[in-house]
Amino acid sequence: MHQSVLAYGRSRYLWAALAVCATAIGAYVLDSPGVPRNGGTWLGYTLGTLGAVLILWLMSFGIRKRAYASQAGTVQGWLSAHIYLGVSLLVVVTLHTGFQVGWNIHTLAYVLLWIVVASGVFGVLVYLRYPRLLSSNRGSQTKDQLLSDLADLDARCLRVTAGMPPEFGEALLANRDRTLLGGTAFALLAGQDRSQILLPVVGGATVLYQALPNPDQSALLDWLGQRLAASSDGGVSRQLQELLGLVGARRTLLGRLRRDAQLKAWLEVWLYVHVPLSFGLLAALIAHVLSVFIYW
Amino acid sequence: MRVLIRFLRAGPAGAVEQKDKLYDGESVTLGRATDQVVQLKDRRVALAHAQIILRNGHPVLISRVPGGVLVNGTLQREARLRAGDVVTLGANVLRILPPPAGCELAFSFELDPDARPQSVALDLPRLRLAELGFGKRRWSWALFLGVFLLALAIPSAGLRSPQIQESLRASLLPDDHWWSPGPLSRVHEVLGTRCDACHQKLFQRVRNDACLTCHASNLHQHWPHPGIGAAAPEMRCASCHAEHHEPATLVRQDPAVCINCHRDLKALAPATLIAARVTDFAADHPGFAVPVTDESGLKFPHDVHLAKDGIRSPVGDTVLGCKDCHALEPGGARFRPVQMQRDCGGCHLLDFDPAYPERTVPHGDAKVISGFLVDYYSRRYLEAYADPLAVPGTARRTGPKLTAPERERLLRTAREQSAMVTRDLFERRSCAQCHDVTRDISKVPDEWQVKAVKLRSAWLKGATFNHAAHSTALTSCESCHGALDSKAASDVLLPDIATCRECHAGGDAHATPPDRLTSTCNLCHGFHGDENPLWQARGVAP
Repeated sequence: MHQSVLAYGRSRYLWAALAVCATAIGAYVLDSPGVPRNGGTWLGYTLGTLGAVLILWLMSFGIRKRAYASQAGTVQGWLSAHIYLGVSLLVVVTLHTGFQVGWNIHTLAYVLLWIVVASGVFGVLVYLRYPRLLSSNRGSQTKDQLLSDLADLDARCLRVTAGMPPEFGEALLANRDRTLLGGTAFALLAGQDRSQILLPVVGGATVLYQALPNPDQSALLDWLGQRLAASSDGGVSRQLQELLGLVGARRTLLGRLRRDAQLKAWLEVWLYVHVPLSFGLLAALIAHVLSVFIYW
Repeated sequence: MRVLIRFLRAGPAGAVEQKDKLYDGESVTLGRATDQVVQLKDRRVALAHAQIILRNGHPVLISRVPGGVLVNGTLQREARLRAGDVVTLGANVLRILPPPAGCELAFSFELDPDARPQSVALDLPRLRLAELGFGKRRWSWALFLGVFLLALAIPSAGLRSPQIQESLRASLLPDDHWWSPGPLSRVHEVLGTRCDACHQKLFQRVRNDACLTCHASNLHQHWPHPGIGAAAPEMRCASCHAEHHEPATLVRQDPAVCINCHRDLKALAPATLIAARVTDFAADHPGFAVPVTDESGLKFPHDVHLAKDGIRSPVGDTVLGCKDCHALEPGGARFRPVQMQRDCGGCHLLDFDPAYPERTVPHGDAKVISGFLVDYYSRRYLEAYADPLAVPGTARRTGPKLTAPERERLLRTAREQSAMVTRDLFERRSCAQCHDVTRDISKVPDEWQVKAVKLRSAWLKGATFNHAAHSTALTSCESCHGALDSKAASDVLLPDIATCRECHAGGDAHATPPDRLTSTCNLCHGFHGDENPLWQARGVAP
């Protein structure tokens, strides 16, 4: 039975995180340090130490999830605690700052923390939603099966064109060779289709070739459609109809492949923010703690 | 640009198959990628390898790889193409042909029979971010090291020597100012970004020596505390004076710093003369140490002066208020001491001669006054004084010259008159109204002694009190000072602590009722005492 990581252990880490936040807020309200609230009062040191320990522990999740032999709790439990305590860190550290921010390395660490936690929250959201979309898009097929289907379709297209005038074979070959899947991060994330096709365009008496954008096979489908409309040969028309059906199937398949890659890219992209910035945060944290005591 | 592309393919039995295509477009791109006009299925060829454009009507080949493209056997970054030129791209050979009519360029395209063709399979689609060369590990290291360098390593370099520090501060590189957690208060702004002005020793809290570089050394003395000596805890300036905060608060506001010692002062100073235990103004604070009577030496009934119906004055009955005699000092903290001539003299006239009521004696001791009167009457008598009280016939006759006996008689009369008036002033008319006057004939001419007047301008020496700050819509003078009913100058018209507590709560903000004011120790008490100025520069500022 699948259980959401958020509900792990009857949400015990949600309650733990709420307890941490409530304790920190309560102590903050009750404390009257005589100077503007800041990280240098006793409560400030306490909250800062708690925050630093939490950051180190949260970052150790990267080690725990790779330690397959570890007996220290389940990875699911660790992730649940990682999520809830990670969000509670925002409360603890905000109170540690005493709402004093400025253009300095201390606020740099604070801003990095916000970005890291926000990217993590984003990650939780996509992980709650996208795996379901991913499997409904794929059906029960793997990516390699989809790619084999694509190769099959291409072979069938070329087989059909073997008995047709050569321009069709060229067009279908150009379509196969100039179909683009992925390639750039933006294309993956946006699900963008930047495929092209080289097609003969009739201009007066001469036949001109032009490179045309071919998103969702639209240029090829249009061209085949025009050819079908102009065709007077019953045999060629039948073959064209078959081709149109195959290219239509190809279009659907390419759409699914792109959607698959897009969903996976969104499932991963936040980690490219979350992980590197957490190491930036670690460096900022070291600088923050050391500099505060260098100039105590 | 219209281009004729002639595809040549070796057919069976050595025959060459030829196929012409007319291409129309901005330029002819050559490469492995799907968006190239001539797509070369050869792994040695870059995704976008070269491009042919029209420049001034002539076709020009531009290499899009750094090494250049083989044109007629030599690598070239850019080459103008003429008929007969041969361009080699991996296993592919382009031969430039004379363009037919209507075309700007023509070339044949064939596979080089000598070249070993590479795999012509399509590049596998790159459908994962990781396949695009993104690496979390690389970025993690880059960010960690980048932040570490900028935030810690480079600024720390300045700690090695003042020269490095100064050059860092003068450059755009990060310096120790990046570590500053907040602005300095206005009075310390002059220190600018010189962190080491206060932070003199690394990993040590700011020491008093750093403050005393600029501030006078007596500044950080506490109140006189007999017997405390070495038992007193060391007080750091920075314990109370915290910097780098927003809002800037140069003086710590909470009572903890006082209560630490005053909770049990006997333990620190067994011989202390002040309260042994003070923890909170509302709950645990001794009453005010005020004398029972005010030994001012004056006779002054407040109630008579403040009578509702008024008091007799030279211009008739006048109703007086507090402000008619008492005026605030500039700054509003205290009232200026009452002065007789300025504050009382409007009514209490020191006139003495009914013939000349505008003449008054100076306010001073008996010797001055009797001297003044002798001078006055001598001149008057010598100038033919019309003495309203004199015996008829004793007035001097008018004439140009006085004989010596006449002068002597007149001056004797003047001395007698002044002695009489002096006695009248001191004992009956003026002085005795307010002062205790005694007469001792053995001390002539200082025979009248006025009891010394001691006016106090401040009663509670251990505290500061600002009258202007207490002048609110809710308070009048009478709400604290019972002057309306005071019949004697010896009454001490100071409120007791209960009066203060009507508005002032204790130091715990959380326990303060909504209609009271949270009152910490330093609201009334200064740490450094009245004797030391709060701010005193040592010599010239740096």
